[in-house]
Amino acid sequence: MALNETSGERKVEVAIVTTSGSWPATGFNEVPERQPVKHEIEQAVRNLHIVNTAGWIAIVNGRQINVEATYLENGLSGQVTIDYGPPHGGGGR
Amino acid sequence: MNEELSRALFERDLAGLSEKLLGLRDWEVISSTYPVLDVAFSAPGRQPLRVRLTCTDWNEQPPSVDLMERQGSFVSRVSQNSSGVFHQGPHPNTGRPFICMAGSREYHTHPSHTSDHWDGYRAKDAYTLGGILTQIWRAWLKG
Repeated sequence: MALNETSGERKVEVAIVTTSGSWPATGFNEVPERQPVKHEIEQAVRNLHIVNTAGWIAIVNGRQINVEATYLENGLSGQVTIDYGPPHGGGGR
Repeated sequence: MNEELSRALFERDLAGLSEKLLGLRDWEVISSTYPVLDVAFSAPGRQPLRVRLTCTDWNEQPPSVDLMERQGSFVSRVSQNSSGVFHQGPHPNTGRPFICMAGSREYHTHPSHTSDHWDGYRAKDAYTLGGILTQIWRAWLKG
């Protein structure tokens, strides 16, 4: 976890991975650990030209995270790779 | 459907399956030559599964989905799963277990689901080839 020397605010490094590509395309973006996860996801959706994300879920290390909460609240630090996509399909009846 | 257009849409969706994504999910692309996208899923403690999408007329039609053992034979049995995605069948067209989920040709052609039209799904990002694979993969992980 990086510490911003100017503001004293801790940072996390974030990458969002989808089946439409990754954001950023390479490496990670450094964002405040107190920023809601959804902010970076919205950046990814916009830049990857994804339109319909209703019901999509964010997974980190096999665990679904709350995108409304911050990285800190989700217990995330250091380098965070978020797998973002639709949930499992619904079986027919 | 025009084959060149179908191929272009196939290649577009294929381009989204980056090495980063494949590594993160432990997916292995066995074949990606139009119209076949053949991907193997692996996870610790799980029997690997190959999911072969045959994408003729993509995306005017959803892909036909074959469930296969890692070495390439068809799966003869699927385990009961809470998602209901893996159906023992047999499907009337293939005679095999099938993916019972919107986005699979076997679902939309099954007599129980012919009124649930693919046209209602095909424009959504969850129903690109990668999106369909994601939905199947998550159901497989759930067991």
